[in-house]
Formats: sequence, structure tokens, C-alpha cells
Amino acid sequence: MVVDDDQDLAEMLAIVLTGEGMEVDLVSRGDQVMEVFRNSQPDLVLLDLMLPGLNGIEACKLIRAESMVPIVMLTAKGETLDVVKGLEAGADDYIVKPFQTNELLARIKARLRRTTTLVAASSKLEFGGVSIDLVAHEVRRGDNVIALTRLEFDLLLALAREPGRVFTREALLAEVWGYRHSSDTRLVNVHIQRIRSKIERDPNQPELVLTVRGVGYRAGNFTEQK
Amino acid sequence: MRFTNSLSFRVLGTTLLLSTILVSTLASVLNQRLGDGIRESKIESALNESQSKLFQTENRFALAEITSVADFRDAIDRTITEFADTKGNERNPEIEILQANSKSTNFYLYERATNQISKSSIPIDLRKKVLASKELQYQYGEIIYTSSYSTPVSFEKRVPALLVGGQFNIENFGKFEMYFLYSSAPEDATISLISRTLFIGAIALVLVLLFIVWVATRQVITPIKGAAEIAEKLSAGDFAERMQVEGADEIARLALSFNEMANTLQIQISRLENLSRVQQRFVSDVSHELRTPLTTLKMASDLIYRQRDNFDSTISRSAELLTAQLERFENLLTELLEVSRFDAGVVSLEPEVVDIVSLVEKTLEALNPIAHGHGSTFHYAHPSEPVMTVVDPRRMDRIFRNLLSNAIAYGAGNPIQVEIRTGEKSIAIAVRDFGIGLRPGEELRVFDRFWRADPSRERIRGGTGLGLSIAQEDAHLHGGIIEAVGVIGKGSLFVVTIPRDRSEELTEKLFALNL
Repeated sequence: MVVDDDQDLAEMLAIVLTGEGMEVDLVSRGDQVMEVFRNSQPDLVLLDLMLPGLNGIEACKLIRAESMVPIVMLTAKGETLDVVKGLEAGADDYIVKPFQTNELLARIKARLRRTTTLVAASSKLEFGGVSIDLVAHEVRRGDNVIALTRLEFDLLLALAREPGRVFTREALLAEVWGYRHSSDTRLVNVHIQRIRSKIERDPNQPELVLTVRGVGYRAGNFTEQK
Repeated sequence: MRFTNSLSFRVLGTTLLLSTILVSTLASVLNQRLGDGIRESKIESALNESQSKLFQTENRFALAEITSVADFRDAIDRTITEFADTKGNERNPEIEILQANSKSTNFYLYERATNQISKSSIPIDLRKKVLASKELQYQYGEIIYTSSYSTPVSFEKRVPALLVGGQFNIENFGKFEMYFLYSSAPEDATISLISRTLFIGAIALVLVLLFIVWVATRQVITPIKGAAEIAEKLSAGDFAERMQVEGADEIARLALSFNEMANTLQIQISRLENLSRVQQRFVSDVSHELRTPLTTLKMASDLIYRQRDNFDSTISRSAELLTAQLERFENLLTELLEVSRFDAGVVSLEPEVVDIVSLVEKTLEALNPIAHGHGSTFHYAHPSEPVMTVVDPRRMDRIFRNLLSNAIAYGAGNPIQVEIRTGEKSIAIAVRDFGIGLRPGEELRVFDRFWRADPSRERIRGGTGLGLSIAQEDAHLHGGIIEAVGVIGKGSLFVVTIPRDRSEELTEKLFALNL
């Protein structure tokens, strides 16, 4: 699903994405987003920030309230505030206009990739009262299912799979987002915060996702189960 | 508030000094004149009284029937006793009657005095003057009281006094001197009372003057103080305050023109703020409005570019040019927007703790393919330990990218040396190329926008002319600086120096700026 008020860009996006074998729904107004979203149940949403009717950040919140679908923001502003607002509203990734077609496709594909297939050895990870079920794609604390977006799940899993390793933000960007040469660490920071707020007992004193000052992040006390 | 800095204290100080001088001069002159007047009138009355008493005494002896020495002695005794009877009143003089030319300090046979006063109370020179003249003589001296005539001096009391003397004759007994010793204690008491009164009055006058001046200064200073306080608020950015205008005097005019100034300032500043807001708004709008069509353009050109093999050579080349120029256009747009953000002052650092060594390493890796394309290789010298510091990694990356791109573009395919040095307070990164270099005077101009090393020379592809200018702004944002030096034909050296603590000034020189 592509949400952009610029008809020409939307059409161009549709041409390119269709060329890649995808089906595309076009939406040009923010207040029509939910209607189309509910009808078509897309695998991924490309969402412009500036929309008539309802702005992209609000639309993003509405979608996130109903679904864990990957959301990639299209933004004309590289400014931190807008980017962070978008990410906090629930977007998984963002791409700044004007972008390379290849870059856009890489990001979209990274979001659509199913990470579970990469993990064959263990089907369940458990640590600090939180269990990650790789088959069911579920995270639980006790009996409660914690709703994570696919990206959050991937990020958590990337850390959890190698408990000892300290991941730099760049390494996480490459592994989870599919970036090659980017040092946009805001993306990582915002998502780490989001994961913490969902899985940690006290997000201000994280036990599961730990910051290694000056380097990056690593997983706290994991125990692996077959 | 310090005393020396306060106008009211300065005015009070001056007032105190001047009024003290004035009042004390006035008081001492007054004191002098009053004292003199009192003493003069005392002398006058003393002379009159002495004269009459002298006549009285002379007449007494003339009229008395003195037939024997015993009669004479009685007469003298009575005269003295009569005068001595009035004792108790300070205004009445002590009397001494002396025989002319009696030189001894003890009393002679016919010499008498009231109240046991010593003969030595009368100085010799006064006696000489008295004997030499028929007129009364006077001078200041002392009344000396002794305990008795016979015993040697065992008790002595001296009282300052006016001494008046005259001579008279007694038939058959010769010339006698008569002295009137007026104690000056009453006058002295009066004079000292006057002095004390004047002194107290002077102090009171000075105090009253000070108070008056203080009140007067308050009237002027209070509005001035108010103006100063409001001016301070204005400079702190609070434009709500105004001075109160009362009446039509100078203070009111001050308040009026002060308020006018504040109004003008407020209007100007809000206009500037508005202008800056409009500019930011404009930048943001341009950003959005240009970027969306550019995205469409790029996607379209990408699509064509990827299928260029299906077209004939001219169209395929056109597709390549279209793509390349779109990229250049995009870079230009990005950098222009960045520059305008710097100008609008809306940029901010996003500092993180990073290792500069690996940050430079990553930039070098990213630019390696381009360097190879120009035939250049990077040589990287750095400390073996990571160099951790707090910087905005995106901006630092952009600085290195710009410096390295510049070195590649003008490096003539020669190797490029990159070196990191660390000091106690700063970190410096040098980028040295061995290309075309810089002419004298160009070291500063390289950071000018759209400036190119040689206008006549062929433009380097892809360059925007803004890279070094942006790099310099980025360095400034970190509290650092980029310096350049170059020699024609030998290449150039660019040194980025950033302080470890952004708030501190750069003092260290880690690289010598010469080739």
C-alpha cells in the first residue's frame, strides 16, 4: 500500500513496485488510509509524512493500533524531530526523498523478509522471564503475549541469538534493516527504546537489552532452550 | 551594590566633603569673632571698673586722716578687706596693692592682696609698664593662689585671668601700684559653650544637608535605577516592561524616550524573528516541494537507465547523463538546504561517544572506490588505541567525506595521506594531497561558497562548490576549525581540529601548517 498525496510520485512508485512483482494500492489522503488498509490488508505500508486530511504520523499511529504490519515512512525532511516522531508513532523505517529506486527496494525487501527461516537450530529462546517463539513468531512474558512489530521482533532476535556479542548500531542496521553504508543510529536508538518499553519490567533500568556505552547494544542474560 | 558604583553614594560623599568644609570654616570664623568680641567687652568693662576702683582707693587715702603708720596700715587693710568682702562672685576681681619698686617675691610691709594670692601673679614686665605710665595697663596672665604667706609653696592654684594695673600716690608714703585680677573663667565658659554649640550645630547642619541631598538624589535616581533595571530586562529579551511616565520633567522625557526605544527594539526584533521564521518555513517548503518531484524524476530516470541497453547509443548516453545530472542536482539541493539551515541557525548537534579512528576508517572505506577511480590511494596513520570523543558522527563523517572528496578531486591521482593526532585538549585530523595545491591567499577562500580553485579550469564532475564551506560550518558547530595550506604543484593540507570539550577554546597546534 502506497500513501502519498503526490499523484505522479505515487504512480511512479506503483510502476516500479509492480515491476518487482508486487500488488499496489494507492491512497492519496490521510483520512482514507484506514479504510483502504482494512479492505486490502497490505503486507507493507509506504507512508508519506505530509498528507492532506490526516498527517502521516497520525495515520501511522492508527495503523499501528490495529496491526503489526511493517511501515516505512517516506519523508521529505531529514530533520531529526520529524524522523523521531515518525519512528515513535510506530514506523519501522524511513527513507528520505529523493531516494534511489534500489535503496527503496532494498528497504522494502528487508521489511518483507521472514527472519524465522534463518534460524533452524533453536525454536525457542528464553531469558529473564521472556520467551521468544521463533515458529509462532511470538514473544511472551509468562502467559501474556507481547505484541511486537516484525521489525522489533527481528531486532530482539538478532540480539538474542548471540547473547555474548555486542552489536554496534551499524551492525544492527545492516542485519535488521538491510542498510549497507549508513550510520543513522537514531533508527536503532528509537527501536531499542520501543522494545524496552514493551518487554522490560522497568524500561529505565533495562535488564534484557543492555546499552554498551560508546559501542552499541547487547542482550542481557539469555538462556537457550530446544 | 558597591559604594563606588552608586551614583547616590557618590553624590552623598561629595556633599559630605563640601558641606563639612563650608560649615566648619563658617563655624570657626564665627567662633573666633564671638570669642574676640567677648574678650574685648571684658577688657573694656574691666578697665572701666578698675579705673573707678583705683580712683576710689586713691580718694579714700586722700580723704582719710592718716596721721600715723598704723592709720595708714589700717587704711590699706580696710581697702583690701572691703574689696575682698565681695568674694564669691567670679566677676569681681582679686586685688593686689604693691609698693612701687618692691622687687621681692614676698609682700613688703605695706603690700596687700585679697585671698592669699601670690605676689608673683603680677609679671615683672606688667609692673614696669604700670610704673612707666599714668594710664591703666593690662595683659593676660594668671591668678596664683598659694596656701599661706609664711610657709613655702605647698599648694598652688592657677586661674587664667585678665590683669589690670594702675599706679597711685599716697602722700608721705610714696607711689603704690594697684592690680585688679579678673578671672577669665566666666568668659572661657561662655566661649566654650558657644564653641560647643557651634560644633554641634555644624554637625547637625551637615547631617541635614546630607538628608536633603539624599532625598533629592532619590528623586532623580529612582527613575534612573528603574530605567537601568528595565534596560537589563530588555537585553535579557523581556520586552514587556516599560517605564512609568509621570509629569513633564526631564525624568519623564527620559522615560518617554526610553519607552520609545524599547518599542522600536521590540518591533525590530519581532520583525527579524518573523523574517527568520519565514525563512525557515520557506526552506522547509522548498525542501518538500522540490524533493517530491525530484524523487519521481529519479525513479523514472532509474527505470530508463536500467533499460538503456535496449536503446540506441545516443538515447542510452542521454539516460546516463540524465541520471548523473539528477544526482548532481540532488546533491546541490541537499547542500543548499544544509547551508540555508546553517544560515537560519536551526542546526543542532546530535552528539554521541564515538571512536574517531574507526569513524575516519569507515569514511575512507566508503570513498575508496572513488579514490581508485581517480588513481589515488589512501594512507592512513592513526593512534593504535581508539580515540573516544563526543561528536555528532553524521557531521564528522560529512567533514571527512568533504575533505577527502576534495583531496581526490584535486589530488591529481597521487596518494592521499590521512593522519590523526591527539592532544590533551583536542584531536586533529589532517588530509594531505599531492595534487595541484593552492595559490597564496587561497587558504581562506577555499571555504567560500561556490569558490573553485581555478575558475578557468575544467569543473570537477559532481562537485557542488559547497562541500568545504559546509565542512567548516560543521567543524565550527563542534567548537573546532578547519585550516588549509597549499603550494601550487605540491598539493595541499587540510587540518580539522576539534576540542575534546566543546566549550573550551582551541589552544593546541597538533599539525604545523606548512608544506
